[in-house]
Amino acid sequence: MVVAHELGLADRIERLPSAAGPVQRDATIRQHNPIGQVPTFFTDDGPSCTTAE
Amino acid sequence: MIFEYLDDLGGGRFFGTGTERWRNLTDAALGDGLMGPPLLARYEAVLRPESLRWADWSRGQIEKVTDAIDSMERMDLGSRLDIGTVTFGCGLGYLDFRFPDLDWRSGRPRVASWYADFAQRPR
Repeated sequence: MVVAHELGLADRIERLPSAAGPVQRDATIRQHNPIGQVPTFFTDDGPSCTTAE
Repeated sequence: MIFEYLDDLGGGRFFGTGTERWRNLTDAALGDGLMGPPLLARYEAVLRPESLRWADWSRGQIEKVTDAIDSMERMDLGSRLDIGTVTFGCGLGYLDFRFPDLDWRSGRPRVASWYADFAQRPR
């Protein structure tokens, strides 16, 4: 989100609730990222980005 | 990857080119050490059953953090705004949030001063 704010993109990003954890793994995240980690970022029509870098 | 995607979407100025690019990416890898290892230490302290916790292992994770910040103390970060310094900023912010007792600023006046300014962004 730091980069999004710096580039003026923050208002184009929707934040979604999640509860990532290594033991109770969040099924909603896993739909988009098998690793089940945050941050997970996905687009409406493009790639899912599953790591912060 | 998220960073790279947003940077591309936003005009591409956070990675740099040539030597600067490799410096930025190296610093981002170092900055990842401010979040990955302490997160593991946190899980050890709050999720692992108490009888299974390993104090030496947790100490080793935190040593990675302090070594990383000591390394940052030797850098001239100036007004850099790139994937490296953003990672540093996010990592130090995480440490303030989850590990306030670590007192990372102690003995590291240059990083502390840099972060005090960086944390004011966006301007």
